[in-house]
Amino acid sequence: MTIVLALLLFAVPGAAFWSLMRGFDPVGRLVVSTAASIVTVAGAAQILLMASAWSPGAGLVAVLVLSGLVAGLARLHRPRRLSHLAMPIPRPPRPPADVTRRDLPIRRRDDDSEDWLYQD
Amino acid sequence: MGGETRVTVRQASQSEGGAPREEPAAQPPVPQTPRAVLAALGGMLTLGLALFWLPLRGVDLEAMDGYGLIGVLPVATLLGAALLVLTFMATLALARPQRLLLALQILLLILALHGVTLALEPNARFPTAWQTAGFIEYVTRNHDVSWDLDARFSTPGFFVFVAFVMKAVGQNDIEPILRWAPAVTNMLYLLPYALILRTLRATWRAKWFAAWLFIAANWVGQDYLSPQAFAYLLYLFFVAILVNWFRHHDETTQRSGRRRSTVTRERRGGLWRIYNWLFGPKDPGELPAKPVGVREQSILLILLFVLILVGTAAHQLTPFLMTASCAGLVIVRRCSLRGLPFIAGVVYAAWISFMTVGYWSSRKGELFGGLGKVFTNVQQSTGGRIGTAAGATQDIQLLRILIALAVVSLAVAGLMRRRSRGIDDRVALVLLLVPFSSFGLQNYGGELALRIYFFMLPAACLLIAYLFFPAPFDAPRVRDPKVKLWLGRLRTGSRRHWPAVAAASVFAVLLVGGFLSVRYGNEKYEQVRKSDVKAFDVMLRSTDGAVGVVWLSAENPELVGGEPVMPWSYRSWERFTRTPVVANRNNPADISQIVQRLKEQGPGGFFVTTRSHEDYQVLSGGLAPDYAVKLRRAMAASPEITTVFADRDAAVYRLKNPPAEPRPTVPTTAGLGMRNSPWTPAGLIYLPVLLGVLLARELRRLRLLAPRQARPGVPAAPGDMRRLRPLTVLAIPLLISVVAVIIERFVIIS
Repeated sequence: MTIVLALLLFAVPGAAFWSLMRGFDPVGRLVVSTAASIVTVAGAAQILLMASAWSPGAGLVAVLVLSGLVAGLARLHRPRRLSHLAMPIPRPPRPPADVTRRDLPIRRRDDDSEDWLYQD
Repeated sequence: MGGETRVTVRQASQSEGGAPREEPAAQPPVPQTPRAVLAALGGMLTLGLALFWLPLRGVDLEAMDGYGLIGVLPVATLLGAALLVLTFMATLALARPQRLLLALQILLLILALHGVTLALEPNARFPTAWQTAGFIEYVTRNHDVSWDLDARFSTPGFFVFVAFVMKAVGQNDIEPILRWAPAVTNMLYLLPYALILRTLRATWRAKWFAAWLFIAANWVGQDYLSPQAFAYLLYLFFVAILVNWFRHHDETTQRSGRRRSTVTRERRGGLWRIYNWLFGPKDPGELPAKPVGVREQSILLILLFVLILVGTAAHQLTPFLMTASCAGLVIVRRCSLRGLPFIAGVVYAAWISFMTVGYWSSRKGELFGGLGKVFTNVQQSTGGRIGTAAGATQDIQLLRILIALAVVSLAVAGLMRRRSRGIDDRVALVLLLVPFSSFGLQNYGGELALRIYFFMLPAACLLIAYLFFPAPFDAPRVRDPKVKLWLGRLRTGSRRHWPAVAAASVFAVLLVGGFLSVRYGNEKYEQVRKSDVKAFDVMLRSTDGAVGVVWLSAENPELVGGEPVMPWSYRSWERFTRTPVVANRNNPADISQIVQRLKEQGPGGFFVTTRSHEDYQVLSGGLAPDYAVKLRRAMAASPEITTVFADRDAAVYRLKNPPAEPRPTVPTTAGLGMRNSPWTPAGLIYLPVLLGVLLARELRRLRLLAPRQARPGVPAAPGDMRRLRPLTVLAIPLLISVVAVIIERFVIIS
């Protein structure tokens, strides 16, 4: 029961950040939301201590308020984001089947090391 | 690299008739793993787990000697550990990654290595962890901290965090949290570490092996419930975000050095090889950064800023390493946030100046004295740690140093191997070197070498994995049979990675053996028994006011340092004071010193001894093994002393007629102790403004860099960055003012 409550405490800011961080890949989004939720809870406790107002109730309120702010920010930014999504992003062409080094799209600058001459 | 080459090779192999391969043209690149192999791996895993955990029930901890847990672990458990390691390595030897199986095995390894004492000991281990519990309990009870009680209250971020979480979910007993903290912390570390690993140009084998090593090489035991463990997690998150989303977008494959003309470029051999190794063309060791929007980067930048703030409030060393690693990445052009090191530095300096007054005001000389004493620090934190110990404890210490040296040298070898393949691992190099910069800082109680090893670990594990699996990608399966390879049969074909996996397995088995030896090498005195905790409860119950704990030390703690090896102050922190008594080695029955000290404590004086503490004095201080028995007998027989509580594991004594005076007062809460000086109010205004300006400047930089990032390779419009100048001009006088306030505070407050 305690573990469920603890998870819930971190899930609330985590969910808020999850909704804020559209445009990330899923793994990155999950890890960043986890980091953000931990930092939110810890930061709320620290701010309350520095304001000499540390108490569990005040902390819960602070975490909820911060999560609400973040979630509100996420809603606020949604329309622009959607219009952006409406524009299809051109996908890179699929590499041929037997190309193994698909992680190396950069061409070596070794061959044309003089091209800086022609740049303005 | 494309299809043509491979076709030629294939044709050649068929026409020449050398080593014909049955390869249908339309075969997928890597075959699926057969079910039977997966089932066999599952069976090995289950057998390994059963062998590891089941015999632990019969372990007799009392039989432990100075070598710690490894001496009493059953052979079956050790075999089980080896089997778990080999199963993981067998999974690495498969043709394609079985992600679920690999992840499951890493989790089970965390439980096995970092949680083996859960099955053995009734209480959470490690007296220092119980002191963290004391800080947390102090916050839950007083809703505040007290800077004058302990230096660790100057960075209370972690204590108030855990106190809040515990109270919010209604958990009042901290013992289960202490028990499970090491395993849970290590699991959490893997989240950001996975994020770091995925940006690297390496095979899946190297990445998974690095993640595995990160668990198995982490024997330093800094992952218990403590501020440094928490701050380390924040550090990993910080680095992971930097290398994932803020890599320098100009990074390209490096061209050969300017000094090489077309003529000299052809030369090989001798010094030119070294020249090529250093300055020759290289591929970056990281994959090209994924493009990400300005909005996302801005959110992440603010998150990085908050990570710095929370990390600074939680621990005094970690923010320095955050600053240094960010600066290092900027210098080697792997991070585009050039202003972030300044922001982190300002936050760190400001915190030290405003919030840790109690710590530095009393020891200004010591701070500056320690600043440059690099050699003393090195010696104190390595050699000095062996010096006092004897016999078994010394062997364990030597083994620790040996493992650390092996890890570092293998990491350097891995770096060399990658470099000789033309790969430039700058991120790993920076993360490996940055922790050494903290040697210039204060000595940190001789623990600095451990901390450096701990912070080096993410990069070191990665580089060791590179030593075994250096390839930047899975090499093509077909080789030109006309080219004679040395040991060609081992190096080609679908099993060509097996020799590397075998070599890595040997290292992995040795490492796990080393882990179980050194991590629990001091278990004889690092375990906390039920009676140890009870002894402190009894003292708190027997008196209302301050408790003066008198404890026995083999050597003078004023000279060699040291604290009682007990869960002292695990609650009611402010009521305890500790007074050492140096043992009379010639006569254990001589208790006159103890009686004298007890009288000085007034009505709340107690003499405490526990078995862990006695074992520590024997192993580390060189007391006679029967010293404690004789001492306890003398205490029980003394007419002046009464026994408050005694069993086999712990004993508490007090005076029969304690004096009424002196009656020490229990200190009240004192808060964070930010002392005042004439310029402090100005500093409190300048500081947030400065941080705001610096942050705004970074956000604007991101916005200005955005077009360049969308089309890499295209140079920015001239004068683009000129638009940052107003904010720079604004920041400089603010920075000077804040630095002036910090200096003024340092000079005035004493």
